[in-house]
Amino acid sequence: MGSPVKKIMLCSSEKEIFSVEEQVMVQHSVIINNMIEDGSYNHEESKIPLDCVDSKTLKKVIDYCTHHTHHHNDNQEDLEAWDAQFLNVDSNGLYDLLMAANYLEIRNLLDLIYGTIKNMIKGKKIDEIRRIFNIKDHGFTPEEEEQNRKEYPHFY
Amino acid sequence: MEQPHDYDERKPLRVTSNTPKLLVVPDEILTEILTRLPARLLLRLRSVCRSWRTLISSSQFANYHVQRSIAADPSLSGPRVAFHHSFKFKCIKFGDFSLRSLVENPSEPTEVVLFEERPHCHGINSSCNGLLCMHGGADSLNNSVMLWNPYTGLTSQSLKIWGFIWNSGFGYDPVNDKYKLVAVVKQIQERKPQTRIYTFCRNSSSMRTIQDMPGGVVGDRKGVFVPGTATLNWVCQHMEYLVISFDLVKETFSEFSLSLKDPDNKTFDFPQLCVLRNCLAACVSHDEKTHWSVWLMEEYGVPQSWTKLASISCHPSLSGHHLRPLYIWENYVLMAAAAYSKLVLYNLDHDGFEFPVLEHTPPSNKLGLYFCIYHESLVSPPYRSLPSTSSQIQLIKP
Repeated sequence: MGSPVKKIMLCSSEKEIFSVEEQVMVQHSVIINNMIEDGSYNHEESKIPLDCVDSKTLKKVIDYCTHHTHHHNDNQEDLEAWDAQFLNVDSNGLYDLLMAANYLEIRNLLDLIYGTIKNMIKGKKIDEIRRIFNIKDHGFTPEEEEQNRKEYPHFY
Repeated sequence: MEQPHDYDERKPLRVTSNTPKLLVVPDEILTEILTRLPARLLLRLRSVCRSWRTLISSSQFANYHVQRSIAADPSLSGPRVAFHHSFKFKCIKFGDFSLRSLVENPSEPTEVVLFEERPHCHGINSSCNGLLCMHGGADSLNNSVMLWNPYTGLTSQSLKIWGFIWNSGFGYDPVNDKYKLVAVVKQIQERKPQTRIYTFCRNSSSMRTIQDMPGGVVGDRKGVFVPGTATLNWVCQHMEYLVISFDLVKETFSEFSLSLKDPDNKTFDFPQLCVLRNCLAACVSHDEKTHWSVWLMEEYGVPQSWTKLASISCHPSLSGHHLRPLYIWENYVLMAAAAYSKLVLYNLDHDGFEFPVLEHTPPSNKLGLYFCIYHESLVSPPYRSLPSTSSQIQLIKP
């Protein structure tokens, strides 16, 4: 107690440095937790390079981890409302967050995003799903596509 | 990974514009997303594109999906109840219904889907990972088993039993990716029954005789498969009640005590094993089947971990019956089958009973109804899976 809050440095793909409470990242990111535990992070000089996470996304990820560290005792409804607001981003932003959470292995954020994308798929027609996942070439022959269409006419 | 910085509002889930075939969401991530969806929707999603079709049709995906459905989220797979109604050892009716509609609206007759089957008549042995193990053939020469996914309609080829089944159990060996039926089989010309294991794997099936199953099995003689443990379980009675456990991977039997420390009831009788909340569970009767208690073995194989889940008080129409719990719905409704004749819903919160009615089933005072929970899944029955229409034994969902 009383010792200054330990910080770690994260470096985005644009080489921007973010200084974050160590505890915040250790609690949420499996990767960072492992780096701290096995001693591969040196507090004097290390920066953790996150070459596939841009600054905008990294800032959001840090926001998420910070909020969930300091507010984990909030009631469930408040947390869910905060999460919903947090994920109110366009699909590009969602995709970036997904990739960042996957890279850093932030399990609760991943679950949140998986759930959000799952809900985006539910109740959608096939064209909308192809658009969401940016699938331009479905790879079926015209005959196969016709067969699929016959099988699930309401899906088209 | 490429990180372009154009944030184009119109483009959904960003993928770079110069990528030709756009499945930039890696399969492992796609698997995580898609396995959160119900089997019903996944069948349709196979038409999204070829790589989704390949992914969703793979057996690894189907296995992961069904594990997730069973372990985490029952709403994914919508547990269903398959039943048969048999009379003089012949199955005369065979169908299924949704557990949700039964629990949510017990006062209305629950809609039942009846299956038709030609030319033989099968009964349900048990279920595992969305596959029903069906057992049929009226005489020992034609006795056979096959696996059927009622949801996709696929069946395995049937496997001859060569004898009458006494005790049996059906489950999944995750290490070797095989479905196994363990059965104590009596052949007419032989005095001593044999314990055999019938194995279904991708392209073959096999039968071999193994170490004898310990004697003294009581109850309905059907082994209970506990997900996550790869074991089948029966109760036997010697000096006390024991659980006989069969390890589906090692193919060996072991035993542990069914020691229930109940301050309210010194003794119990007629134990019936089942699976509740993915744990091995037991329903036992006290004082000549006038009330029951339900226990969970929270840590499999550790007798000290038996924990009382519920005490079920007497009800005039249940007195003298044995109860076989089937499922706990949203932590407060326990569904059980009573004495092969009817279903009971018991509300754990306020100690109330309901007796739901099913369409197309006989009045509940007749014996011979057998119920079995299964999950809608994409798992294909191994051993030369055939669509039901081309199978030797046809099960036709009308």
